Amino acid sequence: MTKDKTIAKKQLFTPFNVITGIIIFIGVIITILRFTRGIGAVTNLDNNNPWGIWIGFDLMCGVALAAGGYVTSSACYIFGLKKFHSAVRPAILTAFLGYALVVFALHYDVGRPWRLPYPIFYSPGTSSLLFEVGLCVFLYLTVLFIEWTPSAFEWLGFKTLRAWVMRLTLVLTIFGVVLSTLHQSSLGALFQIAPSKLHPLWYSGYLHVYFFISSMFAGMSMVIFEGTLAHKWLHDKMDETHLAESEGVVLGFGKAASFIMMGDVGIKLIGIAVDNNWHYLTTGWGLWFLVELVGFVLFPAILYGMGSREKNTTFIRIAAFWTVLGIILNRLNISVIAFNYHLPSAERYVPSFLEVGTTIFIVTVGVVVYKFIATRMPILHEHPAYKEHH
Amino acid sequence: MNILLIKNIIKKENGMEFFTLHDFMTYSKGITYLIMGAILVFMPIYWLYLTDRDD
Repeated sequence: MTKDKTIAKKQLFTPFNVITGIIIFIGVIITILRFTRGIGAVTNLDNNNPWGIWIGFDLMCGVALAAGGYVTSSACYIFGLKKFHSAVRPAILTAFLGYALVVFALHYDVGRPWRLPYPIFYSPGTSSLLFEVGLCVFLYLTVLFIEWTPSAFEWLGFKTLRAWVMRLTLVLTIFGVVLSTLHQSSLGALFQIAPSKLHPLWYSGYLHVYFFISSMFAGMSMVIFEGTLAHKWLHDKMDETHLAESEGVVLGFGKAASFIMMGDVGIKLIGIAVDNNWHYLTTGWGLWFLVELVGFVLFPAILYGMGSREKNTTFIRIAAFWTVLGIILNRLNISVIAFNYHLPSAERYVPSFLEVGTTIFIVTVGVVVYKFIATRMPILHEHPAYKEHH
Repeated sequence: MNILLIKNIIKKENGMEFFTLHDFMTYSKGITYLIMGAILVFMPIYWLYLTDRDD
């Protein structure tokens, strides 16, 4: 009995649990501060900078990096690439948690959580891009939840419910692609209404296209990156099928991401040419733009290309991590760094440590929930009772 | 009036001399079409580079 208790204690106080526990404890304190003392008490936001990293990172990056859900499920169920089947459930779970955390993080920014349904059901602003984003995220989160439920139903043993939901797979996948096309591009279009605030190198009439195209390779990179982490930390939860298919997923997604990223570099050049913004490239902002475009799009595109040609998964995994960083840099450049670029440095926005703490807390919650689900439900392996269904 | 305004803005900001909006559009679209042509040639070649060792 004492021995059992000691083992349970050891399992409870693992480094992962201790670190995440501390972060979540601090996050809860910040949350109490935010909702009792107001947004001004915890952020450096002001009238010039009403959107900070809670929008720039938690929402913009969260939505882009959650694109793996629609990319993987459409590759498998619409394009018929069944070799990616084992990647669908982890991708759907990552996307579902990503979008759930986007909505969770949004509460911190907008406040008054009980009014969250207002824009959808009470006073829809149908001419607003934000309304379209809100509606799509609301609908897509519902779609992702339904797409995720078969794993939960298999775990709980609800065979009939699972069978019903499985019949909806294709419809839900199509619905997911349509909704993602809409809101991924709309997030870029949001910044098209502020041409005087966003630096010309990042501002473009094609901004919505950039956001949608980049969401595709962001999703693929996130699937590879998340798969790499899962292989390292949750290897024992993977079955033979998952392990056998994982290299094909990495090579296939690496190749597709490389091609799309080369196209992305091309359309960025077109954007510069259309507005004749070449002269900005020799300025300080231009060098920063080139760091993003060459260092975090062109370089990983080449690395992806070399990796998929040489069948070198290490190259592809490095490129995936690099691309995830690049997407974060791109979204932060557009929403925070190159936004209000003309303001004097004293009026520029720098996030407070409580804002950064909230973001770390939200990401940590996502990691903990992912681990909780992946260690219990058939995400990285097939449930023995349903193997013949796949 | 508007054309003059646009001309001045373009001239000032780009360090290049455009006297009309038409001048500007001809120049920028000319460069854009050249880039588009280069992309149309490059992308299929890059696809072949990515796939030529596939089984």
